[in-house]
Amino acid sequence: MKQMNRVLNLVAATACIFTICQPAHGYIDAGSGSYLLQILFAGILGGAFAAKSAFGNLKLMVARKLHSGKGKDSA
Amino acid sequence: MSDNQRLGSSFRDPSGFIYQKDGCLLRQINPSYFPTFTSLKSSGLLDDLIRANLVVPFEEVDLTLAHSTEAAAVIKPEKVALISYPYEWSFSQYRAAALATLQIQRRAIEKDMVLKDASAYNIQFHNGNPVLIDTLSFEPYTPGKPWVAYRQFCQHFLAPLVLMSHVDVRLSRLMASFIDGIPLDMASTICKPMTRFNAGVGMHLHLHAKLQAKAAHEERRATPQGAFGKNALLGLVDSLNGLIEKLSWKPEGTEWANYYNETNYSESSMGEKHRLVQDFLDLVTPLPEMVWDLGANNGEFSALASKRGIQTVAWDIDPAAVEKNYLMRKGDTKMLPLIQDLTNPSPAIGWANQERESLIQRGPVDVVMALALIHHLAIGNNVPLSDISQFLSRIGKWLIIEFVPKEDSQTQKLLAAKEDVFPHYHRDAFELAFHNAFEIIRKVDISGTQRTLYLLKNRSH
Repeated sequence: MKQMNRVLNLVAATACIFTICQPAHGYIDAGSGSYLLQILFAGILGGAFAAKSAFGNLKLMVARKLHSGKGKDSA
Repeated sequence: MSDNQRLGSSFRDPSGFIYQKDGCLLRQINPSYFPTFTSLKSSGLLDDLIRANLVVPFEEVDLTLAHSTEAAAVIKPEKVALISYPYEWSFSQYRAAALATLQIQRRAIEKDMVLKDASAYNIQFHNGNPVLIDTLSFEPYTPGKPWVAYRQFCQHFLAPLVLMSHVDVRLSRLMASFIDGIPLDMASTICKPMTRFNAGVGMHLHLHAKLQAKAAHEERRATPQGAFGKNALLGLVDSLNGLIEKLSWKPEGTEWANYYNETNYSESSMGEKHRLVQDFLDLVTPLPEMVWDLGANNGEFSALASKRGIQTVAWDIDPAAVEKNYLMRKGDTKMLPLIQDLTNPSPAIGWANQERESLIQRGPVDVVMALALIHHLAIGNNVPLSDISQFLSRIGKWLIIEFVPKEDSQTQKLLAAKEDVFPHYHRDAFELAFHNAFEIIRKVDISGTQRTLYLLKNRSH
């Protein structure tokens, strides 16, 4: 099933490149392959970053809560 | 360089360019980039990056200093003491430059901007920090658009660092052969056996190379829209950052890494040499602004100059010695350790041989130090003494040079494995060979050794 999903993703991304596209305007050659790779991994990269940020925020929240608890105890 | 001339390396970006006027380096901003430049300033991004030592500070100057009438603005960046190139950086310097680029990109995204190019040549070491010198490298963030400079980042930073870390640290020299970074297919072929099970390298290098090859067969270059969100962009930076932070290289087993432990100097002779070098530096007039220490090893003698507040570049052939120097003296803002093979110095490369300057083009400097070096050039590399004199006279106004005679144990080591075809390698011949270009100001035998230290003044400066 996973294999099938990967193949579908690849087909969808490739189709995207050749249908809804416009020329790149940067003076740097971005490279179609480099764009394709980013699009293929967009979900994973975005998901991983969102999860990491959420975990970081959670840690921060817990740390703040613990800290404020300690402050109250010592007061 | 003549006045009001655009720099040979500043031609790709239509946003503006660098030129020299009245002895100052200036950057012209063209009308097409002016709205972006205004947003860059008003967003506070540039100020943030300058405060964080990630972008070179600059001031806006009067339009009368513009290179051409079409200028929308002119800025004067703080002067970088020496422009260095990626193929001259040690592993940790290279990694620091890559991480600085990613940090800039992350901060830019947070302000709705992105780096539109990620060239390693845009990073320079300024007061010890890797900073972006191309203030025009930003563009507004376009929702859904992948990172336009991702390919360039991988070719300029990721591929060299992976090769240096996993294969051989000397492979950074490939950057001198490929002006736009190491081709990913080549890097992938070289490092595949060592990185087969590394997921990050697998994605950013091996798969990237494969997709590039596939796409190269297609005629149209295209930008897919609406497929790459801001989280994905930040995730890409995070992924590259994690991968590069994990890359490492330990300097050991190279020729100079333990040089000072194996030297034939006694403690007192070494102390005397230290004192003499300092005395000679004090005799140089006017006060030197820049010293190049050639064959500097881990920078022990270079530090005598940098501690006096003189900008000092410690060149050495050995990546391990340069790495040690960089890591040991990170707080020394006047010290810049760099890799340089004097038997094959950095050439002028790029378009019209004018994009990246050769070693000689970056001189002459106030003082060149060549301590315990001459026997390596004359006997190790068969360079005639007169040729060494001519080369040094092109790069230095003053010269502190140590003559190491044939009887010295270090020279004997060089001669052990080769025929002695150097009948003219002796002190008198040395003085004669250097006489045409240099005047002897001081000459002192270093006690406890057979060596002599000279302070020479270039006759043509």
